[in-house]
Amino acid sequence: MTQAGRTRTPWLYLLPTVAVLAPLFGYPIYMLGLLSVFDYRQAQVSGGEPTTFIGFGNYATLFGDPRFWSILGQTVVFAAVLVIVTLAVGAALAVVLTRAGHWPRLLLSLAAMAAWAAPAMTGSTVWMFLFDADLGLVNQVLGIDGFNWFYDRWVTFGVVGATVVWHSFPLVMVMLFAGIQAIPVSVREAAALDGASEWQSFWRIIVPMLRPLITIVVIQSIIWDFKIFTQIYVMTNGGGIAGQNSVLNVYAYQTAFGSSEYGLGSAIGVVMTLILLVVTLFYIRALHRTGEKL
Amino acid sequence: MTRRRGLMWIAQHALAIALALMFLGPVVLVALTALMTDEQALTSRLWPEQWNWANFGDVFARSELLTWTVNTFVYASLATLFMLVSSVPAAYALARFRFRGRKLAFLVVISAMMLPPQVVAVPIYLVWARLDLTDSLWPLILPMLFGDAFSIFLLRQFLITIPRDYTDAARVDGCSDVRILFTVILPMARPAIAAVALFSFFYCWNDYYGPLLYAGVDQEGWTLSLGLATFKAFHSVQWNLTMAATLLVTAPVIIVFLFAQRVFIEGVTLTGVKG
Repeated sequence: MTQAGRTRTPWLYLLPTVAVLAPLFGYPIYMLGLLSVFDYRQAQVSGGEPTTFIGFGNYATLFGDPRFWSILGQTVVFAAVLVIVTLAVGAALAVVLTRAGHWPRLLLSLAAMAAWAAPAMTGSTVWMFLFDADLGLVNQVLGIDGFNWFYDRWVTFGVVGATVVWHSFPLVMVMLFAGIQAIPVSVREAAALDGASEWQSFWRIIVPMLRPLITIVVIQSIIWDFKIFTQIYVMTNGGGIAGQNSVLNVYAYQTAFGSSEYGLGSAIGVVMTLILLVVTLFYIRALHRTGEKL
Repeated sequence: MTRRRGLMWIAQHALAIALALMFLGPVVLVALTALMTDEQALTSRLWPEQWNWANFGDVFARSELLTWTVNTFVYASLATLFMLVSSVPAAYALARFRFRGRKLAFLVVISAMMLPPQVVAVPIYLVWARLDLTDSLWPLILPMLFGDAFSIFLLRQFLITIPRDYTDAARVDGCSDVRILFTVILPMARPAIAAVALFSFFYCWNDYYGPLLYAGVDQEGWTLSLGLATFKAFHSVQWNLTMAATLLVTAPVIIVFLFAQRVFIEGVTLTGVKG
């Protein structure tokens, strides 16, 4: 094959993807930015009204709305807490898995992975049933019949958060478990011989050795938890009482498609893109650190 | 020492078993509730006094569950098939060839993987609306013909671990790049391909946002996730029916998963642990 032919071949394979990542990735982002500086609503979509350029008008509306700031704040806090809890639970269970015998290990990993595989929709339904005010098992066990878990903002976030963690920790657990298994047994045995406790060997051996992997798990969790939609939308019926439990993703959906404020919805999309872009940069740096060659 | 070990062993197993029960508990509860009569479902008694198997039939009779299942299956299968056709060659190119722009292409793939589709939903939705393809699942299926970033990433991670010697040997024997892909790479990459196919299928099967946005108001075009949400809203006090529907929706996924879990775990570790 000629030199020119050899350099052309890879692009042939990539063609469908490049042909799309450009329109399906570059173009939407470009359009997202463009829409966000226009007054674009249902009237403009149906073609009845001319689209008017309003510069940063949508952003001014958004940033001037205290509701946006409170939603942005609770999205960040909610995602941060979820990431921490998911990692703590996932890491603890990964360690338990390495110490468990064959059958308990199999049982636990199957049960956890089944939770992960279950649709977010059905998971949310089951948790709503467990926390139902009148018939829920939780209220019966705790003896607080009639207590409404979906009334107070933070209690609601707690229940929804637990549902999300229940869905997302198995992935973290399996990844960390695989990582721990890859650490030579001799290293951990040496630590145990020197009298290191489980706690010490976790922080002094497992964490430092798995740092690249942990970074990737953390970043993936951040992205995962930041874009939470289904659980909030389903369990709080679209954002809770007066939207008190809304997060950016739900807010953007309702603004754009509920109220047909496409321009304003795009502005929220731009804010989310910028936040995720920063996280992505960290991800690429972390991949680099693991010795990944781009 | 042995005794202490023995106790530790029991303690750790107890923990693992207790945790497993925590997960299985809700499943049992769901199953029990799904079998209760309407009257009993309104009480707090946990064990069905009458095993009301008719609930499962009722669910089908009172909703479009069958249509939703077919729709979901078609959506998930087509999307997965299209994804494989487009993503495998793309991953092959990224993993095997050195060419100008390769780094950039990979960075674009990673960025696309990180940005949830919801973020750019508005412009994409408007395009599909202009093409008059909203109120169908096509906007969720057709883009898969053009590669899925996560699948490309995962496949590439696997393909770079295949030693170059294999492909070099084939090339010396006069194989073309296409033949190398089909006769050398694909058979070796079978576990990774199985993993991305399953990931994709499950993602589509469980997807809620996509169908919510595109499937429209006509129940005939809905998927299971969408249908279940409405079913729950319509039968809000009939937890027995809602749980029967939940069970019917979830069971196939769990069963497939249990058979394929080894493939999954391999795939999961691929995303983070590089060989």
